[in-house]
Amino acid sequence: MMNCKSIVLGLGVASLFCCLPAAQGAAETEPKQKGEYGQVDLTADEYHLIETSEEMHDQLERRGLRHSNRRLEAWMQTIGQSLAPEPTDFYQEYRFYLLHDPSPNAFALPDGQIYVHTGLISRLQTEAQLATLLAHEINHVAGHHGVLAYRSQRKKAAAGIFFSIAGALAGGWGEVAGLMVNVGLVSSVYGYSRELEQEADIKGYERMLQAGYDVREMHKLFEILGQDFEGLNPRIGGKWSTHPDLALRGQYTAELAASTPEETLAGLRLGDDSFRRRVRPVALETVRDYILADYPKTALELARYLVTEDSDDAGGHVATGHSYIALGARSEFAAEAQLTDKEKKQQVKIRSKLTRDELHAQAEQSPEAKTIIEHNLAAAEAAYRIALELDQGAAEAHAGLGEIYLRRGLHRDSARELMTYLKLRPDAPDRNIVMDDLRDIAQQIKTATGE
Amino acid sequence: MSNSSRCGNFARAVTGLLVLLASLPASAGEFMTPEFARGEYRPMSMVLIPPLAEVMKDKATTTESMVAEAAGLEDAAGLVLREQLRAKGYELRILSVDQVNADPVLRQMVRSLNERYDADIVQAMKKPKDIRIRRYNFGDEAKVLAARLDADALIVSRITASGATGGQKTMAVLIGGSMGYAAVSMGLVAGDNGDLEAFFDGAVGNMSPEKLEREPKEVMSKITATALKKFPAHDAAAKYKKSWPQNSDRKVQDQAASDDEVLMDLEALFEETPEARVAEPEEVAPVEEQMD
Repeated sequence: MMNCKSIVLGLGVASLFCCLPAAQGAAETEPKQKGEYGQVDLTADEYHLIETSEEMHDQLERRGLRHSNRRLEAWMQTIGQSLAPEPTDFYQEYRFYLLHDPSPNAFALPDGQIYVHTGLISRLQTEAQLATLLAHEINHVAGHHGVLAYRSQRKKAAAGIFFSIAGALAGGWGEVAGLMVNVGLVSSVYGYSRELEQEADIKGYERMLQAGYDVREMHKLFEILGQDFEGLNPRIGGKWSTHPDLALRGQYTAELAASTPEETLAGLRLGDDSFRRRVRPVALETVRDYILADYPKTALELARYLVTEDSDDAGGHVATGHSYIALGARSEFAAEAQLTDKEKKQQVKIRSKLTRDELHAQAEQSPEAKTIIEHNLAAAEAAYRIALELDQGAAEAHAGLGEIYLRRGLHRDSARELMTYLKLRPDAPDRNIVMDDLRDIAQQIKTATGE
Repeated sequence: MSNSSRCGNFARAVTGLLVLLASLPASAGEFMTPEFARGEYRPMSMVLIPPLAEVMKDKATTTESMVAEAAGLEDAAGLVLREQLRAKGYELRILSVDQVNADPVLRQMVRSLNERYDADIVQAMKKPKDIRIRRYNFGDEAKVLAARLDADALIVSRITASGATGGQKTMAVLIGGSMGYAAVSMGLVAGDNGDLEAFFDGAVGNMSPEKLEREPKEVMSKITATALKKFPAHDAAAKYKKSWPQNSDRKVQDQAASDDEVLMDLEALFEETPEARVAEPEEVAPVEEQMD
């Protein structure tokens, strides 16, 4: 799945980058097209793919999108190297990076750079699931999928030009026929990519086994990718999806695992127990990123998971509180997962038409809005209280309580919490906003007390 | 995640706009709040957030990213914009990429504003005239960054360009298609309330990859001049916040009271006045019961 930032970054050339998005669609059961796992010589024209990949790394660094957690990257590098084959070409070098982006995605560049989004690693539960993801992306590089897709696209585009010209010269129905052939070719391009995706999954299974990772974790990756807490991911029609259906991918990877001999399975491992501890700081940041992107239900799910895995850490409770506040008048109980595709498309349409403020205002128009808002504020308050019991210095919990009391009209309580927040965090990034609130509160109190 | 839908909308909106713009030799659009158009709002201190560029090479058989050239345009954009705004009487500070990357908090703030801007500018591009009614706002992301930079307003800029090769231009003549273009858009975001005060864009057509590679400053000068053609000149007599009370949404704070004074004031109020709450929340039933 690509987000707006990815587009701005210039990742629009589908043939250049092979991604692992949460897109859904139909797939054949047996791949017909195959990657090239031996040496592949590039023409001078094709070599720009390698040059562009290097430039892309510089661009991501320049734009501050590469995550600063180098220890986690180094650990990913260790896991990735245990899965990667020897490079077959001088232009390949396997490198693993963490990209600051909350969308659940990963992608590989033809020169061996592999990027995992913070929004995906935060949701993984075991090292073996991360290995599944890395093995998939490694196969895109090892099989030269980017190069092959580029070649395929060029061939089909050249054929498309021929038919377009022939059609234009013929005129009338000839023109229509030329257009239809072009549409077929575009469809074929997408199908080609889908087959390579499937190949990357299946070869990933082999790499997992070789490295000793538990292949029974593979299908869980696709379950995680298929999660749609906001109800905004309708299925993409088969012909137009670059990836096989996630449910189908989950199914065939589960079947592969089930076909593995028991004695082999017995020797496989989930990986280091420290996986979640290593990922946790990034996951806490990702909750904040989801809130900033106005995906509060996704934020809440991740925050709850963080609380479940370590209920003694104040950070998870603070993240839960923030997520409840971000819900506003939207109910945590709405069953988005049960929405039909049509309903999801409708939600996407509404979201694309309204600004964020308008969306919130619309939610506040519902008859039960007042009740939902108070429920969310009460849940947030409870979460912040737990955080403060665990850590009295949890500044953000005070800020959250200050906001809750402000919304309830409890000005004194709000002021106390906000002032405590500023005392604990004198250099708070949002100090100007908090001070604006405090100015308003001071005025309100003066007015109420007749000063 | 549903960023993809936003992404698609954003891409469609950008593509649609740019195709339209690129079909003309040079075209521009400008949309402003009435206060900005009338000269009642003039930022005294503007900061340019590092611009983001997407540059493609449009060949007959494929499209390729021009990543290094994008960086060249991004670098040229700041200098050109400062020069052209200075000619209109404005002072523009350029926030450099190095400054952003040297400060983790600033980097997070810039990333957050960029995310918010790219997500929400889609609506503004669909209905830019609604800028007049202050429909578009970039929230706390804009306010905290403006405060951090001590800026009255932020300028967020996006550049998109496509250089058509000779082969592509031939194909365009034969069967239609792009002859290449370069376009820039600039959003002027008020620092105190996050409103989109103004949006300007400009584009020129007939662009080659060589021109984008070798003459980034010339390309930026041309498209920026097109975009800023109707950008109102700064009126030295117009003061920041003059006449703002006309806009009921805009809060006019008493800036004379410093942060310390406000905090001391509140401490004193707590000591002097009883603990009575200004308002009490209404009792509400648990949400589960209500929803039944």
